[in-house]
Amino acid sequence: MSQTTANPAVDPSERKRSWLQAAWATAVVAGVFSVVLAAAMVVDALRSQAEDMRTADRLAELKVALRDRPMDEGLKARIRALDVELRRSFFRRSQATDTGRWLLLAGVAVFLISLKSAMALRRKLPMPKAETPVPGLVGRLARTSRWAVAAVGVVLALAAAALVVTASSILGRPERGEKAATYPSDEELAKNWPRFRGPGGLGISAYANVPTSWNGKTGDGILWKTAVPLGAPSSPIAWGDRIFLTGSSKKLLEVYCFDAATGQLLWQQAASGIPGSPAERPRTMEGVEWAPSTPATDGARVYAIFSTGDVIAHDFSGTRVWARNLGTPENSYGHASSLAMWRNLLIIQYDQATADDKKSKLIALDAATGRTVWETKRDTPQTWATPIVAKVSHLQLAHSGHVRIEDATPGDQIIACGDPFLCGYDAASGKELWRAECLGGEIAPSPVYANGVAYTANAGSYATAVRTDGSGDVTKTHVLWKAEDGLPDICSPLANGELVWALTAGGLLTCYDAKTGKRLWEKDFEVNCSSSPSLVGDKVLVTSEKGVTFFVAASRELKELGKAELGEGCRTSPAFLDGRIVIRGEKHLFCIGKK
Amino acid sequence: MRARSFILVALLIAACGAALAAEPVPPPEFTDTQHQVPGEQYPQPSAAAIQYLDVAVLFVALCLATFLALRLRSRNAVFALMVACLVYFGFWRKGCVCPIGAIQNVTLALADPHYAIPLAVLAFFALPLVFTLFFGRSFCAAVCPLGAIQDAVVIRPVGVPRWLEGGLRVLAYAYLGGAVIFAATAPVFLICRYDPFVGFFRLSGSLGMLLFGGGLLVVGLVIGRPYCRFLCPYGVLLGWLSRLSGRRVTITPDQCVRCRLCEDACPFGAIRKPVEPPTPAERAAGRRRLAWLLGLLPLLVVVGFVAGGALGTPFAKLHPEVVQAERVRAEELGEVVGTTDASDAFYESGQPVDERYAEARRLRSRFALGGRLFGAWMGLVVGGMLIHLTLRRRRDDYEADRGACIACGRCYDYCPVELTRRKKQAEVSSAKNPSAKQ
Repeated sequence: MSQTTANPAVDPSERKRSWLQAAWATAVVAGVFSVVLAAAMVVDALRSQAEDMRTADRLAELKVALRDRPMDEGLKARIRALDVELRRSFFRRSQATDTGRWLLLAGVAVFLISLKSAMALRRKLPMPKAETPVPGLVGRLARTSRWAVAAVGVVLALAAAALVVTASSILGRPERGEKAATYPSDEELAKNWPRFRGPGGLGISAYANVPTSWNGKTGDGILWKTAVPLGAPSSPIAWGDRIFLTGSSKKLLEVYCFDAATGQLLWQQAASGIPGSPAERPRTMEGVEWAPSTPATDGARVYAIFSTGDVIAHDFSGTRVWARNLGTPENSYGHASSLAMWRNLLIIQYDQATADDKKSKLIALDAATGRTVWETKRDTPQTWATPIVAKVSHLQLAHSGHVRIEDATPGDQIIACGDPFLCGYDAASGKELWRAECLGGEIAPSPVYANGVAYTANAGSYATAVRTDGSGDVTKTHVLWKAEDGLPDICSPLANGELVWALTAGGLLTCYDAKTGKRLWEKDFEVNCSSSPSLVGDKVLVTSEKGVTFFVAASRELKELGKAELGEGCRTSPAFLDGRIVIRGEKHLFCIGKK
Repeated sequence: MRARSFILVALLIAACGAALAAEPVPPPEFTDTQHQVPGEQYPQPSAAAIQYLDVAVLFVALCLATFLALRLRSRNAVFALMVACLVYFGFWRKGCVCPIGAIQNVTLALADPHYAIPLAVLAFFALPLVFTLFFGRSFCAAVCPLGAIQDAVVIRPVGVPRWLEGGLRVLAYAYLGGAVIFAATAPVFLICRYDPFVGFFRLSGSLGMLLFGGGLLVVGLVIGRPYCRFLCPYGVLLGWLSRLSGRRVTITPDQCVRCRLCEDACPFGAIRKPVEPPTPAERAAGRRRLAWLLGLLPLLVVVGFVAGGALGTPFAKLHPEVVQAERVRAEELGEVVGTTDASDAFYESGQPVDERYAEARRLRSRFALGGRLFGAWMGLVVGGMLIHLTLRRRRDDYEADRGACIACGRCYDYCPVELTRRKKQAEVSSAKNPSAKQ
């Protein structure tokens, strides 16, 4: 009022209109500014995604190239320069974005203030019409409100039901797989060569009719010979008409399937894209590479493990069933323990690092799903030995004369070497049953079992016989004998219940009495050996790294029976089938038999 | 022009959402140089002094809001305080700690004896409740930053039908129940995880949450404070206490003259019309309905409790450990390709997978219990609201709803009695101080 009096030339409505126009103009300017700024920020954000250092194609390519050429300093310099350039770009963009955010906030604030001001200036007081009473209106409103509440309640219930229906948990599936578990019978296992050193891991052929003479150079006695795509010191396994192998290179880890009748490579599958698999391969011993472990099969699937910790399962058609990584093993020569199986469980001796690190363990995976069924910690540093599955029978123990039949404890055991213990585990639960302190040094030879007794031998300690019916520490109670001659450092021993053989890497074969440990004889073949000895009928087979197989009689006296040549080097142990031997050379897979 | 304004604001908010999304920086690749990669930095907890300052500011703001709304009856002053609190609690203190989220801390403190709730958080939870119990929802009017940012964008409000408003209010009860149960059983802080406006306060956040918050602000252009009215779990508690408050905002400072000018003044639908007493026939029908609903209530609670157990699996998917276990299992089975950061972290931990699966199953069973309690709560809420809507109270004047009114003061300017009071007050002031006239 006083202002009007002071300046009668200014009309209040005109002033209001002026303010209104100013408010609208400000709102439009601020709005356009904010929209343009926001659009620019969005475009910049989208454009910068292509320069994101995490996804920069060029940088990724250079990093891949660096894996193959780790010593290329020029390549490293280029990667560093590109990395720095991308980083600078990222932080420049971040700074600009930060400034843009505040400008945008200010623009939006001005826009809202001016828009609200304009709306306030346009506001007029309402002019309510005369109210006409409507009978029952309140009741109707309350009824409609109740229906609305009920409707929202129903909608929420339906939404919850949809959530329940659509949200399934994958964690519940293993139990179903477990119930449906199937596994081969002992008879089926005995007919085939399902793992390293055959049924039970004992190195004993179920067939005595295998050939004793062949020549890989001339082809005499060779049924077929097939080149293996990638080399490795893993041994062949066989089931029915299929033979399986693994191989590795710097870039590939592979599983192979061959036709046992023709040697034709039926399929090869790469072990790639496995979750958790290390981006960089762990260091391994030269020549071993990443596939030293022999695969295993249960007649339905083939399982393989690599030094990366990758475990993979394929069906017989080559389709991947499951794959997982157990964590990269800390092993100075690379993980080399082969796979074992008990019923539907895949057994993995996963020893690594030092004993103090407490990282070693025995693992049982559900063969159908790969799920861990049990896991048992082991007090041992890294080893390279393979566990065996022993069907400990009270009858065997009794017949062997070591225990009274009423004192024997029957049950399937997994027997595994460690430093310094040889241990027996309950196969079903993984619980450690007994342990005997009888080993030391670097443990590579695997144990064997016969008639209730486990035999082990390792350079730096002893050859030992341990009864498997004990519990707890049985070092003082169940160790039957110890011997110190001809101790192996790579090759596993061989036992048939009466005799035990041990083969050194230098080719010295020593025969012991299984009950007393007395050395009966020894034979120095004067060759290097990586292949473990095998028992075929009444013959012991020893294969040298040059591919020469020597035959000696499985008797208390030394009796040489001859030799045969493969024609190329060999670091693997053979598989024995009905009338045939399958053996892997340095470059080829051989099937030896009568045509 | 109005439509263009809405579109412009909507575009602005959507664009802000896209522009504010944050991105992490991977560490440098090389370790064979002399460069020392700094270790991970973790934000330090807020100093005690700043926490107590926050509490002091909250207390002062509540006092001021109460004074401005109830005593001074000034919408402009309330608005100015609201903007100040938006700047302080929102943009400066980044929206944390807030009383809404403090519900979860209090719940966790009650459920887990090992959790010690900070005093400042407890104060943030309790102070607004205490003020509301005595003076109504002045906290919502001028102190809450979430309410303030919505209030700031109200341009042209339209009324939401009363029946729809009542129905949508169930959502806030569901959110409250879910937040409390998740905080007690998991604990997962739902309110903090799904705070729609914290991304705006921090000028950064996930694109999804920024778009959700932006969507609420766009809706807020025409529907006043949609989060406060239909989602805010703390608003449920404030609404209960506000009904009990002795002093609270009234539209008119004196006798209502039933001019109906204030009828559409409230953008939040809190003004109630006079209600005639029910006829004898309506009263009798109401009693029968009430008896029927009182019988239905325990049934709804029991059904909710039983059916809620099935929610264990979907609820558990909100827990990171369960998500991690499910992912690892899916990777094991080959159902997914590649790994995630979570599964990589698990593999690096060296923990046996079965331990993680067992832990995930244990968590899921806890969520199943939480689901049962949630189902029972929702049965109680729906049944209770149905009963509430059956009760009919006589109302003689236009007045603000005791629970819904947020004390913003917008209705003052519409009331002729209030305007008369202000005029008289101005005249008295002028008479006391004649120099002010010149």
